[in-house]
Amino acid sequence: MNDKLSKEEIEALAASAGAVSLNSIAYNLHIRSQLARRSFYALNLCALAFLFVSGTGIMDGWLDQVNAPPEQGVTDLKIRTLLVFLLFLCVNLAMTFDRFYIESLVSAISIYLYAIATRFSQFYEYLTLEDVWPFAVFVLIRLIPMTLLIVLIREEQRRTAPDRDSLS
Amino acid sequence: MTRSERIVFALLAAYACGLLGLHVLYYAGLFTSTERDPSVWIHLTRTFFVTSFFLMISIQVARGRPFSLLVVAAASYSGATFIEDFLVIESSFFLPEHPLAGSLYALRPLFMLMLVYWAVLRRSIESA
Repeated sequence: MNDKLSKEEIEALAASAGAVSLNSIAYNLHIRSQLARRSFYALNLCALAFLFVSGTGIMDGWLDQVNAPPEQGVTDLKIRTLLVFLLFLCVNLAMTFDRFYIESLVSAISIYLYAIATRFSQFYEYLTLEDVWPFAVFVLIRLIPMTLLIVLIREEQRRTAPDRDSLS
Repeated sequence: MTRSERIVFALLAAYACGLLGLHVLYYAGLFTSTERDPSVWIHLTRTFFVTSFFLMISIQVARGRPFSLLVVAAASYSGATFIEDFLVIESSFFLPEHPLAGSLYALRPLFMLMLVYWAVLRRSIESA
């Protein structure tokens, strides 16, 4: 089903709700499904939590806990923070202006998958049995934003797909 | 595909083949070497991603199916690895002393530019 509003509907919405900016997050969330809205909020929360936590020493302490030696090629946390910040900006701006939104989501998942694969492979040879619990938590935390991104991409593909019913 | 897309695709494919050739040389050296390289996992990850993108895009081109989002993903990946190399690892290029590595390293910005151009072009064609 195509959730995009027609010109008449946009005019009606603008008339009933006063000045509705078509370039606002509120409007662009309004035309999307409830699932997409919730996933978008959750993804933003995850990104903000990551940016906040990387500013403190919590993550470095956790990395020490799982025996991941930074001198052995484990990518610096700063670069990951920079990438998350860039993607966070990109996805939010794309949503606001309703331009390149799906492209931003695809970019985010591409970089995210690369980051996960690199991190897992870097940890793999240093992991011991004592690291099982911290590592399991790490895996779970990683899977949440990835699931949200997949949901958002699927919802956006469904929303922007050509409406087959309108042809009949 | 349009004519300009075919040219861009050929150039990008040539670059990817050169890069994968360098990967093969690196792994060949690794098998004969007695020392253990700590960055082998990063290199393996990169080989996997480059091969996957190259194969998936080629298959979609051959099947005549939409592939613009794959090109977008590949462009983002190349940007992320470039930032990572530039800011963290300094030079993670395989066999930096090899003559092929020098030319690939010099051509990397051009490669990224072509990939972004192709992503925008293909996306605008497919979404039209």
